[in-house]
Amino acid sequence: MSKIRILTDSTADLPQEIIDRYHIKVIPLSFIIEGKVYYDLVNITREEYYEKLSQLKELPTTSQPTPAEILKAYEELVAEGAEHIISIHLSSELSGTYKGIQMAASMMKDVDIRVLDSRTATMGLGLIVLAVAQAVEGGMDIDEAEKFAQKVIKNCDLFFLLDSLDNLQKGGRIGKAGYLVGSLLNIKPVLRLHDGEIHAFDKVRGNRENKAVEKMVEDILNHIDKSKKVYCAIGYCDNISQARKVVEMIKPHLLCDEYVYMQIGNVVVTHVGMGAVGVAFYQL
Amino acid sequence: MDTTNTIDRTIFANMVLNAASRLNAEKAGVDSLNVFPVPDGDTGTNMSLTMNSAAKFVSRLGEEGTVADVASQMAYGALMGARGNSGVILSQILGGFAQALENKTEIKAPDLAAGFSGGVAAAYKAVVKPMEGTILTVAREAGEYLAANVREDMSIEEALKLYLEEGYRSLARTPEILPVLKQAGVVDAGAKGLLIIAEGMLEAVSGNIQFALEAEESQPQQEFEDNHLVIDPDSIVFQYCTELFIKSYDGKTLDVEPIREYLAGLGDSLLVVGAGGMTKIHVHTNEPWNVIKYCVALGDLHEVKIENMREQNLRLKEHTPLSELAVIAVSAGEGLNEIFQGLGVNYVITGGQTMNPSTEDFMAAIEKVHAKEVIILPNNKNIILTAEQAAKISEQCQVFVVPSRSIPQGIAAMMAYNIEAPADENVEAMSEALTQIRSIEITHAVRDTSIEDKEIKEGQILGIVDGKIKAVGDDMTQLVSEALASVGLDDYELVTLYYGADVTEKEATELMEKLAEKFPEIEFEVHLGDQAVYYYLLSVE
Repeated sequence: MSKIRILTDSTADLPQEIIDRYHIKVIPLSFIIEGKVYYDLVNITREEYYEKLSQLKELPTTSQPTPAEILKAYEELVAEGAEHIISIHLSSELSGTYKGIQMAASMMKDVDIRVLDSRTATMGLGLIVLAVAQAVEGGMDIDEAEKFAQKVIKNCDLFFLLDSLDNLQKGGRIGKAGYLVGSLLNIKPVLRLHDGEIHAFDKVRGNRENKAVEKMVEDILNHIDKSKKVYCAIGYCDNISQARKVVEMIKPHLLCDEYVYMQIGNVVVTHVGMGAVGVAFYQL
Repeated sequence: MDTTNTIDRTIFANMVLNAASRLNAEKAGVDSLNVFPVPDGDTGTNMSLTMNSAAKFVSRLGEEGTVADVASQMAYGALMGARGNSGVILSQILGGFAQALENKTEIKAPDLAAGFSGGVAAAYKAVVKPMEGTILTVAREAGEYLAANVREDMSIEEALKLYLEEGYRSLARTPEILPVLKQAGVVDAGAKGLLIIAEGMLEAVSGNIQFALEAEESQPQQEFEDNHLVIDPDSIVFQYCTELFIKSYDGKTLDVEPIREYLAGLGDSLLVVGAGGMTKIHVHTNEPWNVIKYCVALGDLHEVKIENMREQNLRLKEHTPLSELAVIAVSAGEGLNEIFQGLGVNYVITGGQTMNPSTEDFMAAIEKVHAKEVIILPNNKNIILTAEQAAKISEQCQVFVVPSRSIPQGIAAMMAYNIEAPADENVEAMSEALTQIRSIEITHAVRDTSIEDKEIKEGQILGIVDGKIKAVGDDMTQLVSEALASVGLDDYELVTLYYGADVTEKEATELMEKLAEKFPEIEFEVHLGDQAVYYYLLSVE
C-alpha cells in the first residue's frame, strides 16, 4: 500500500466503492437530533435521515469533528503505515472543520500532513478527493500530489439547484444572496459554490418544470471549455432521476469519460434541504 | 443710467419669483396638454416644482448679491429641483441663462437675448434623442428670433415681448412638426410652460406682480428630518436641529408669521406650521435656548427635541463603512417597493408617473445608500433624464443609470442583478435584461381624444404596451387580453400581473384565471403592486 493516505470528511459524499477502492479515510461530521448525537453516515444512513428530516420541526444542529476525533483519525492512519497524509476538507467559509483539522495536524509530529481547503463541498469535494486519490495511485509523490490537488481545487466549480433557500439561510450559509429568501416573486436561483462561498449565479422566474434545470445546464456549459476533457460529479438527494436527466442534457456537449454520481450526505442535506441537485466539474 | 433699458438684481429676482408664481397658477392647464390622456399630466407640475426650487434659492439671497448671483442661484435651484424631462430641460435652459449673465451687475436687452439662447444648446445635449416640436424647438426659435432682432437701446420689456411673440408662433407650429400633438389636438406642454415663465418675467418687469410661492409647501416635511444625515459635517453652519410643538395657551392657532420672522434670525432650515392650536417648529440654530425661551412665551411646549447634527453626522459616517455597490429604484406602491427590496434594491425613492422625483431626491438617496458605486433604476421614461443628471453631478461615488422605462423593466433588470459583480458588469447585464421583456400598463383615459386613429372616451380603459396605446375598451378582461395578444405571446411564457391600489385581490385573481383560460400556453402570476394610477402593470417574459 502507498505510504501516502488521504483524509477527508463526510461532506465529500463519496460513494462507498470509491472510498474502499482508494483507501480514503473519512472523518464524520455530526449532528444532534432531540439530544442524540449522530455521526454522519456512521450511525445513521441517508435514507433514515431523509425520513427523519421531513418530520422535524427544527433543523438539527451540525458540528465539526472534535480535535480528539481528528487526532484519532490521524493516529489510525499512522498506525496503518502512512508517512504522508493529504487532508482535504470542506470549504473553510462554510464550516470550522478546516480550522480544527489544521490545528490537530499541527499537533501530529511524526507524520507529514498536507492540509488543503477544498473551497467547495459535497460532490465538489468528492471530485477533488477522487482526482487526488487517482493521482497518488498513478505514482505521484507527496509534493506532486499536493501541487496537483491545489490545481484541481483552483479549477473546480459547482452549480446547483435547491427546492428552497430556507435551510441555507437558517444555517447562515447563503452569504450575500440572502436577500432573495424574502422575495415575494417566485424566484428559483441557480446557485454556484465557487471559491469557497455560495452565490446566487442566475435567477429563474415561474414554475414551469425544468426551467431552472435548463438554466443551470446553460450556465454549466458556459463555464466549460468544450474542446477539452472535463471531469464531472453529479450530486443528488432523493431524486436520482433528475440527476440522470441533468447528465442527459450536458452529455452531448462535453468530453467527459465518466459522470460520477454522489448522493448528498446528511450534514449537507441539513443545510440545503431535499431536492438539491447539482454538478461539480473541473478541467486541467 | 437709463432705467427703462436696464434692470437691476432686484427686478431680475422678482422676474424669477414671478415666473415661478405664474407657472404655479397655470400648471394644471399645462398638465392638461399632455398628449396621452392617461392620468399622468405632470409636465406643468414638474416644471413648476423645478421653477419653484429656482425661486426658493433666489429668495434665499434676500437683497444680497449681484445679477450674476441671482442667476446662478436660479440655475442651481433649478438643477437641484429638476423633475421630469421638461424640468431637466428647463434647468439646462436656466443654466445657460446664468452662464450668459456671469459677471453681470445689470441686464440689458442683448444680455437677455444671450441668456435665452445660451441654454438651448445645453438643453439639446441633455436629451438623448432631441425631438423637434417640443420645448426645445420653441426655446431655440424664440431665442434665435430675439437674438436676431434685439437692439442695444431696446427695453427689457420689449425684448421679452419679442421673445414671446415668436415663442407663441413657434408653439402654434408644434402640432405641425409632431403629428402626435396634432392628433391629440394639443400643443406641446413643455413649450407652453416655458412661455408662461417668460410671461411671468414680463409681468415682473412691467411692475404688474403679485407672487405667492408654493415652494416651501411642496417639500414634504419628512425631508427636513432625513436631510440631517446626508449633509457634509463641514458644511453645517447651524449645529443644533431644534424641534418642538407649541400648544397655545388659549387654544387658538398662533399667527405663524411673527414666529417665522423671529426664528429666521436664529438659524436656517426653518419650518413653522400651525393648525388648531398646535404649532410645529423646526429650525437649525446655534442657540437652541433662545428658540425655547421665545416659544415658551407663546404656549406649552411638547416633544422638545434638540439634536447635534455634527455629531450625528460623524457617528453615521464613522460607523457605516461604504458598501461596494447599492441599487436605488424609483417605485410607488408598497407591494412594488417590497418586491424591489426582495430583489436586492437598497433604497426605494417613492415616485413615478404622477410624481417624478427631483435631482435633489436622487442626490439624497445616493448619499443615503453610502456605497462606492450606485446603480439607479428610474423605472419611468420621464425620470431617466433626472437620474442621469444626478449621476452626472454626483461627486462622492460612481453612479450608473440603467434606463428602465417601466416598473416591469425595472424588475426584469433586478433579476439580472448580481450583488457580487462590479457595477459596470451589472449595468450591462441589467440593461440587456430589461430589453428581454414587454411591459403593459393598464389605466383609464382622463379625457376624450384620439391617438393613432383610436377614438378614446374619457373613463375608458387603456392598454399601453411598451409606451404605446394598443387597446382601448370598457371591459377589463377583454382589454387586457387584447393588449396581451398585441405582444405576440408565442415567444413568451410567463406573464406577471401587479395589481394596483384601486383593484382588490379578488378582482386581480379572477382576471388572472380568465386570462389563464384564454392563453393556456402561458403561465400567469399575480402580485400586489399597490401602485396608484395603473390598475395593472403586466410584465411579459
